Amino acid sequence: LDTAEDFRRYVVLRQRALLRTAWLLTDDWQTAEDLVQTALIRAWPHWDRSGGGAGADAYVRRIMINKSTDWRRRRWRGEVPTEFLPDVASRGSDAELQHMLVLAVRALPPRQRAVMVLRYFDDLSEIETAAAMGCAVGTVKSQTSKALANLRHQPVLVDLQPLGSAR
Amino acid sequence: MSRHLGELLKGAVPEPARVLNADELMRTARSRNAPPRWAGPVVATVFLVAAVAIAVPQVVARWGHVASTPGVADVPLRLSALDRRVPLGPVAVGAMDRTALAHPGEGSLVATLGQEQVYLIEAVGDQLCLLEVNESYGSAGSGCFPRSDLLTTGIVLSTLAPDSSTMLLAVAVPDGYTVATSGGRSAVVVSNVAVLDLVSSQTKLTVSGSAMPSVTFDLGKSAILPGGSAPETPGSAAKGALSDLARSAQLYAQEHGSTAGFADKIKADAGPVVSTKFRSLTDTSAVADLGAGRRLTVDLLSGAIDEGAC
Repeated sequence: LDTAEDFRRYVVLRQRALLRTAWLLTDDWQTAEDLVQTALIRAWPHWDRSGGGAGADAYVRRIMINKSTDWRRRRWRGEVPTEFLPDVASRGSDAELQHMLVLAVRALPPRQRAVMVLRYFDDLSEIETAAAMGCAVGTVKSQTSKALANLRHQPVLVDLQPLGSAR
Repeated sequence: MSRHLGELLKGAVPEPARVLNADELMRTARSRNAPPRWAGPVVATVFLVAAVAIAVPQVVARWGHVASTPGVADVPLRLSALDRRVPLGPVAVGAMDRTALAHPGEGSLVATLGQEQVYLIEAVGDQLCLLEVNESYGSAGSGCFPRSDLLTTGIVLSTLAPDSSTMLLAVAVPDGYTVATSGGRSAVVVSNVAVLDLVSSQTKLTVSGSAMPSVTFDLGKSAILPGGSAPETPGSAAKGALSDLARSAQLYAQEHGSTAGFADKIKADAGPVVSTKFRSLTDTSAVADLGAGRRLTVDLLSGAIDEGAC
């Protein structure tokens, strides 16, 4: 395959997964699409060197993390929160729990949010997560710990178990 | 009731409402990454420091060679990259069709920036040409100078950004020269050529190498940069330095297959400048301080620059 065709096929095959990751990293589908497109466009000039397959995934994901953190940091400074999680919520259906979880993940600081998405949604190992975030494994561990602690501040998520997915 | 975070998260994320158009994305990627500062009719191409200096004697007096240390005349003007020729593409051939080349249809590919390529080409009469070409876009710019200009007035090719705020500059140097520096930015020489991205107000360019006499060229600011130029801020300077570093790393990777050893080479070539400009430098990334706790990190492979640390 030539580079262009390889890139095009990657977009077709992987965009769904990338968009879902981006949706968690951002706050809505429009921003998620922007994030994926930005990452792919930035990855294109170096596509030959991305290695294809998992290598391309890692490369695109790293750009997504960097850009989402950057975008969020900019908003972070000037944004006034207008919506808060309820202090008490009933332990209802999975759908409700999932909704609360998404809100709680989105309320995390950018790096904690990224580590949650990479470790528990994309199922990356600590080493892979560190590579995607451009930091040390120890930092991933500490960010994960902080993020889980923050999530568990929500009453409905207090018994959340970080098992079953992350390696 | 315990809940598994991974399972909950996966269940929480809906399917995308719509899909991306791969072909459209591909077109956008190609067009955005066709180096805007290097290509196209909007770019004013090529300043010919050496040619102008030769053609207009009074310019020599004003712009001429600024400084050269003793021993410059003894440096062999050999460029090993000229021995590694490849066939030129049709646009490149067309761009050089009025020049009598020493090896017709061939040139040495010395740098690739996106779709833009820079060739070093030998012409008859001991002339050296720098050619910048975008085969996809069909654009090219070139300049040919006597080899003897290498360490006197300099063999330099540059293009201005459409707004004239920055310029991308390629300088050819003989074997032994390893670094080109201007305005506090440095680029590693690869295949006898260094490429720098400069704020257009820069007027001096210095080339150096271990055991080689440093030489400074005057870029002739007033002649090549019409209009004003933006002042450089600490942030833009740091970004520029990181961009230059990333470009050098990419060129290094092209030549060596990876960036392994790049950091050591930079540190060896540029010496203490590295530690003053960059907080850290590895084979894959570099960090520059902006002050007030802010810092910029560059991914040397992609050139992506982000603010903040993990």
